[in-house]
Amino acid sequence: MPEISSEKYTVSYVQENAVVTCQGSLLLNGAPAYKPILDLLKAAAKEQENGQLSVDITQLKFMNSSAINMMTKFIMYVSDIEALSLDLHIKAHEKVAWQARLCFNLQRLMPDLKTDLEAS
Amino acid sequence: MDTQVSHIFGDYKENLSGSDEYLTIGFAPGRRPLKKRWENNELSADFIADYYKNFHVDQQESMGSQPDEFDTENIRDAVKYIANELLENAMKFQLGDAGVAAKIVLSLYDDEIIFSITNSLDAQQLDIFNTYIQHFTNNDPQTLYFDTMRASAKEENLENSGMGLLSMVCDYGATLGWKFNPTDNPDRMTVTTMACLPIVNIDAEV
Repeated sequence: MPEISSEKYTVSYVQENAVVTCQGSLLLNGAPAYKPILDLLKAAAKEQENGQLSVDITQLKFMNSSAINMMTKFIMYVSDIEALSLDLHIKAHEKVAWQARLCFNLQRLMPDLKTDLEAS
Repeated sequence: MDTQVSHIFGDYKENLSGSDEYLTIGFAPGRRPLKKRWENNELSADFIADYYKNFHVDQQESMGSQPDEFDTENIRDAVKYIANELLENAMKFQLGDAGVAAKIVLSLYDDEIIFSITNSLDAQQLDIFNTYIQHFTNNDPQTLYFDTMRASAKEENLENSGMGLLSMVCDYGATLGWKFNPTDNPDRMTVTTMACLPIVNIDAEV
């Protein structure tokens, strides 16, 4: 199972379920530090092309603006740069304001993005 | 920019008064590597966020209302986000040998929180900072935010994109201002970045 982790966070991709799960806090310094995570997301999207991929951020406690930047890069990669045929979902908590806001912003970049918001 | 006089840009409030409470954290200049100082950003941001959370809960309880758990955590997250972004920016720019301590001040009011963070800049950094501020203050932040997102997607390692400042304004309803002050060294200035966060705008509605 492809996984990138440190003391503060884990990003793992389960191929069989087509889910990338992000946990912990993403507070890395700038775009180069996020490249391994972005590469994992891109590889997962490529692998699941013509199918579905979910990115689950419900267990993510915090992300800095460089992490938001990484997510926008990923969304633009799928929707514009590679224009993949992929049913992409983001799973987040409805009541966690920053998660709901991130989904809203990403959807503005990729109107086909599905946001699965958990109510509790 | 004339480094011998002060300059103000954006929504900068001078002579803050009447704050219910305030908190200051200072960072002495030193030669600790950025990586080490970076780890402190989260510690400081968490401390500031918890400090505000306690203030907020006390305030709610003193008015006889039971604070909503999600509202409280959303406010805490917002305070942590803004404090962390301001600290990250200051630590990127702060000069190790400047002899000027960087500091963040949190001023608490009933309806807003004001963050003021001060760090030093050399001549080259002043140019970068000044150019960005002009760009920021002369454009619509929402347009700039999404243009920056789209542009950064095509640049693998784009740095200093200003996304953190833009997200404070667009996602949290904060206002931003800057004040540059001269120092003893004519090639250097200090800059205080001020972010005002209205409490009413922090909720899960999008």
